[in-house]
Amino acid sequence: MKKSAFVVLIVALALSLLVSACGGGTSNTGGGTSNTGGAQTSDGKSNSDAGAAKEPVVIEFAAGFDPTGEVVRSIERFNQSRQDIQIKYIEMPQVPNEQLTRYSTWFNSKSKTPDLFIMDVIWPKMFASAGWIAPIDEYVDDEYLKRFWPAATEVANLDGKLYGIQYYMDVGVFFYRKDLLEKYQLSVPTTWSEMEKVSQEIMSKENNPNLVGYVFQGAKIEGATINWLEFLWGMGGDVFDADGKLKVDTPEGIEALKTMQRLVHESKVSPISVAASNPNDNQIVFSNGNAIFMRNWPSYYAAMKGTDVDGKYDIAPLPHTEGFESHASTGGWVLAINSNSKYKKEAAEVMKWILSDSEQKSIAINASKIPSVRQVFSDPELISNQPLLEKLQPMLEQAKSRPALRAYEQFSRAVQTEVNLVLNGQKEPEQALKDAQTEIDKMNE
Amino acid sequence: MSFSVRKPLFFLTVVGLIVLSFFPLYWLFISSLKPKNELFSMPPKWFTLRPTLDHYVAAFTQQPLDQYYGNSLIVAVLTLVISLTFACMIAYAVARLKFSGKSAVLLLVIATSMFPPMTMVLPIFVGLRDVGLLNTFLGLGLTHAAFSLPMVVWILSALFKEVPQELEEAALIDGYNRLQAFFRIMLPLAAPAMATASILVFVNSWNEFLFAFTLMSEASMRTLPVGIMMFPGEYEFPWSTISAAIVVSVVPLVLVILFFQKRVVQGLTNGAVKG
Amino acid sequence: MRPTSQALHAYKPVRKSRRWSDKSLALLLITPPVVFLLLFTLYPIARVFWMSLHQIVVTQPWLGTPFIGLENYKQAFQDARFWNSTWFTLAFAFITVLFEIVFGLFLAVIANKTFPFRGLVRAAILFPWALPTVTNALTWRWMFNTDYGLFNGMMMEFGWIDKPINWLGDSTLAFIAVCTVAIWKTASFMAIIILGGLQSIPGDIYEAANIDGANRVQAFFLLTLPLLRNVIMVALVLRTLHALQAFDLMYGLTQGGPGNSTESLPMYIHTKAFIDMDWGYGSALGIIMFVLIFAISAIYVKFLYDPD
Repeated sequence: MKKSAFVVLIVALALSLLVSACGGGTSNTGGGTSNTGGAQTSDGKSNSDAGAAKEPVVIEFAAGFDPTGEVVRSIERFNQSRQDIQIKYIEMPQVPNEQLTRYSTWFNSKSKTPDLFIMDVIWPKMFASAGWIAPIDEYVDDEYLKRFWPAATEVANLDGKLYGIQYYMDVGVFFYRKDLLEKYQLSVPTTWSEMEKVSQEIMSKENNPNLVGYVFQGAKIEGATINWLEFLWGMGGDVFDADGKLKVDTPEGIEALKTMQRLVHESKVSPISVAASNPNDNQIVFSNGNAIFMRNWPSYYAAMKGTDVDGKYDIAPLPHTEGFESHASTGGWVLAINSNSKYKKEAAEVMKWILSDSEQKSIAINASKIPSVRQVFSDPELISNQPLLEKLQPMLEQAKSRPALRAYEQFSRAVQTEVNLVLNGQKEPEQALKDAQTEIDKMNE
Repeated sequence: MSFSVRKPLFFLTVVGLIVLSFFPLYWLFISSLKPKNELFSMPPKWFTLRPTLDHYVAAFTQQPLDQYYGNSLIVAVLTLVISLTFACMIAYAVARLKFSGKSAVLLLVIATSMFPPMTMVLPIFVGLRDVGLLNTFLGLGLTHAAFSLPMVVWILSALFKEVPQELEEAALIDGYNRLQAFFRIMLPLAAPAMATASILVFVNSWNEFLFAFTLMSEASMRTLPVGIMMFPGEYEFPWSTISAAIVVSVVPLVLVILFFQKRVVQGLTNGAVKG
Repeated sequence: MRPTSQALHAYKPVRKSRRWSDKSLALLLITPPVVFLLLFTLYPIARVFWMSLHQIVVTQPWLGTPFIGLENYKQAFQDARFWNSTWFTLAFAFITVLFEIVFGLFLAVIANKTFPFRGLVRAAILFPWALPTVTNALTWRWMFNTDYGLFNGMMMEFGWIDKPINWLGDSTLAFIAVCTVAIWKTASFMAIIILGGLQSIPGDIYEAANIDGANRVQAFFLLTLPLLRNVIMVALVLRTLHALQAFDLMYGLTQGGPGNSTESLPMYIHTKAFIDMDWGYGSALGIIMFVLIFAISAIYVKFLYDPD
């Protein structure tokens, strides 16, 4: 009797092992959308037309939820203008890590949907190496690619194949309090040492005990890596050595990290709380009026209207080290096609439509996004509606993309952990970057 | 059992407990009513002179929170039904019947909650997809039930045992069969345990995020926690709207808890367990 | 509470005419749930175990997925970060469960008493636990924020401190913060389980004890606690299992920082599996965690469970 229960258990266990060993779930049903309905498009127009209209191809387009509703409107415009293809919108959370979890679940199980989706700028090489995205060379030609900012097409150009194009851009910018600079008749700093001097002067003369000089992202997040890279590029350094290997414990790397450390611990121009700050935290401090300078993303320009600093701030290129140039990091999202999609051709058409001049203009005006199509910037309606874009042009020219790595997340994690520790005062830059390099060497890129 | 000296101390303790338990929720509540520019003012204020309902409106218009509510409710109830049924079956057998392999069964049950759920995401996702249960209430309900089952089985078997066996024996003598005996005798007496277990299962299911997120990708099938996670932007975190959404999502939980708490007391007064 | 067993045995009714014997009824009752569990949990666990024996790096598909036996496990034991997160998880679990039992007991005893507004007090006590962990962690992160958080703001206003405290930036403070939030949230969970047990204890026992001259403290330690033994053990096991698997809390509150000092093992597994896409290694870590939890539970059960 005791044996029988035991035997049943063992048999069940063995069966489970057998089943699981026989391989994973390949199936012919779609991915995360086995139930129809619930999407937010108007796709009723497809079947009712006269003539030999075949069933329209439904392209599932996964994109982060857009609070302005522009993505939804854009899709509706497409669906009303075409009979042969219809877009079904798969709404994703906006937070990149959440998206990554979903995408990796779907694509690891070889889902055929979504057909088209957008990915963070740091993922193309990861997704391409995993075989998740399809090359789009056959759908675009060089002429077509000239329409875009260089970074928009470079970001997913890997091993000679093009895997995607940026939907819209982003770039790091330097926010400053123009009212404070005017008050003390100081000009906008262009180098880090200038910034330190200006900050210290203003901080000592202003009567605000909560006022700090420069806030930036130093928490254990992607932002820390980005900020360090911007310091690094701003002194002529890079993370690839002459042989193309990934190296962070270089003299420039250490100097970049030392500069960041000085801001917090020596000149005390930055508060130690930057070591726990994400972009949103920085923005809160700045819009409370408690920071003179801030490194952040342009979307905050509009977001800070209506706060205490309304009308008192403006943007400029990031400072750099004397003798070098300022290079901010790009951001944004990249359109890509699922390699398991059944409708790659149609997905490419949708992609091109999304990247058309009119749609790019539309997201700029209605969603305050930075278009990846260059020529749109000279459109007069755009200029009057989004004056910020003009200011961003020079920064976009100089912007650099983060290193395209298969295991970018691992690289970034190594760097952000160490940057975080240095800013917290728990490690010295040399040791920190040495430790980061040890982690990075394990990556065998 | 005189309280006379202890009463004020007791009262203070209770008040202190309430404040301690309640303040974060209160902070969220007051944040949901503050106009945006007061949200991060320093020093922080525990009240606002200009309350606004804008954020609640925004919360419901930006995302179909009412739909998410309904979804969460259906899933939670489904989970409750499945896990209570299965748990009763196991707990009753373990507590009342003689058979060997009891420890094996209990071990199996508890083994399932020893595994980090996130590593099981992929197999469960694939499995449910292959049988067409993705984006269905049943799929998510079964998953939630599977994770709640161990807890319920343990609570129920620990407390089923406390019910004296001879009460059922008496019923059996009187001609009832086991099932009837179970419903007439065991269930009412074990009501406190069932209520406790129900609260735990319901709240766990209501608040669960990982599997709700992975298994329900259709916008219309989202549960509340997943819906709330749609609010944070790529860089922004709209505390005002999110606070409103959280407050709104916690209310039903509070009601459920209050409701079941009453039952626990009722169960006690109904089932006079005389020695 | 328990009648004399002699009386019971003398009473055994005749079972011959029953349709179901104990064994077959047990089989009928046990099978559906067990099958359900096997499908939902044992099958994925087996699958994960199988994966842990292979090298599976999704972003390097050209490597294939070769069988590598226990290589992943060997790598884990040499991985400093694995050990770091394991120690942290164990310390976290031990400390939080200890405090939670004590506070939970305290809360349950209070909630069990009769006083006006008792229902409301009970509900208030349960609020912490009703908040979903993710949003709870984020709320506390806001409150702990150095520049604009509630705690620093209030402490500065009261003059208790004159410089903001870097709560989440200091390793020790961050650890305390994480434990505090966990204890705050879960003491009520313990309370509700213990309360269920408390309410199953009939009041006449206390009357009898009172008549025998025992005071309240003695009654509590000599009567209540032993009777609660099984319930406390259930709460202990459940809560320890939960604490060892804590992920959302650290993820939302500190992201495992500063450095890696508040990174729990589940967080590390998540990073390895979902971000680094190393499913083989992530699976191995999962299995190791399973064994760890199993061992701890076995110890609990052996020493605390009174099967009666």
